[in-house]
Amino acid sequence: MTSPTIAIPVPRTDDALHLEAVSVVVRDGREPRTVLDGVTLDVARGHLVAVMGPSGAGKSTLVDVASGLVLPTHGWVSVLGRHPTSARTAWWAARRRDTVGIVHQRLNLLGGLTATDNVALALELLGHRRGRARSEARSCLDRVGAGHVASTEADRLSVGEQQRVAIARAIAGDRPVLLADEPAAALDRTAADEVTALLGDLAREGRAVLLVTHDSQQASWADRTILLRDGRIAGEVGPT
Amino acid sequence: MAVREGLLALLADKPRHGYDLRAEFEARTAELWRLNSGQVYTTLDRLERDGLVDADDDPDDPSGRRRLYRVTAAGRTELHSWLDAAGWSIEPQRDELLMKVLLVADDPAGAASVIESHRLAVLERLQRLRQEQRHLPDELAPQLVSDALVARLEADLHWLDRCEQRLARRTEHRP
Repeated sequence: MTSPTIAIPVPRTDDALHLEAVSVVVRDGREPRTVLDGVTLDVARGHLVAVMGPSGAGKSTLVDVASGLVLPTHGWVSVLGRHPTSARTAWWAARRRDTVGIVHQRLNLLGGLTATDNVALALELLGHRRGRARSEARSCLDRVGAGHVASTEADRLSVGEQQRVAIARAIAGDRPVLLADEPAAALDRTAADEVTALLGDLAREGRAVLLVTHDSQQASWADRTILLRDGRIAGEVGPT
Repeated sequence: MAVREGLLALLADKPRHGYDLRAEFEARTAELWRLNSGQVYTTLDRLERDGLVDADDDPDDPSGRRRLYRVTAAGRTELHSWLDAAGWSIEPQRDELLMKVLLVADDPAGAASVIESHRLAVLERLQRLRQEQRHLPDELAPQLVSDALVARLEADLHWLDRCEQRLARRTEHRP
């Protein structure tokens, strides 16, 4: 007797980040609330994909699911062809740290430390030795156009410079997946365009970059934009 | 803009033949505006009649048939007053997107749908233009034309966002 066929989802190997029919239901009130409803999307290496939608559309939950912080109620997520949702938590936590970099609207830099120390600290947490961490931190800062502020304390930098340092920290250690949650929301228009254009450049170097934004102007820098409304994909533009 | 001012501007650089004017006009305008030779010669005849250009037989042309055109002092004055004049209207344009939004503005759902579909269309075009911009040749004319298209699409996006905010405020305040 043969065992029944079990459908095992096979991720497309070229997708660095893939969400398949992801739903998230939260039970924080009396009624269960569906925050994400059947969202399927993929981000290949080399591409900047924007998810755009008004506040409350489910954008932040999407970032949390993609980063493995929140597990989907239904559906699955894969990163580099692996399934964090089915993997043991500890294994994935370690894997996530050296695979996925995250940039938030709030920058979360350590204000008293220099830009280099902020990035190097993240690398030391990944297991790099101090000397190597500092030299790689400097090259990441150069890459994002923040080399000139490497020795400046984070709380003395402009918001735009701080965001570049945060991006340097997120790509440090050659992490192939970058999640950016409203990275330009605190910036003026010119700095916002520069930071989002930088995310596009970083994608074209071979990273998979997911940008979450409420702002269509920022989404216009992406290769593809997915419109999220009430937790569902309501539209999509750009090559698939 | 008229072809007439375009030809005057090119002749202000140096004397040129008719066929040279046509090629240079297209190169300078990134081929946005293609001329046929009939247009070029008709315009040159009128400019000559109005005393804005002079034409001589080209001494370097062995066939003796080619004429070399050069701008006159009156031609330069006319050119500069055209270059310096604000040639646009500050009246609202009868723009199709503006008309669509105005016609459905009293219906919040209809307006939201018009805004959203146009925003996606503008976004798609803008995304494609930004990608094309990375591969533009290192020539000024196509870069300037592309910048103009990007700036207009950004303005459309900005305006659609403003429409959405205004419509949302009205819906909130409605009893």
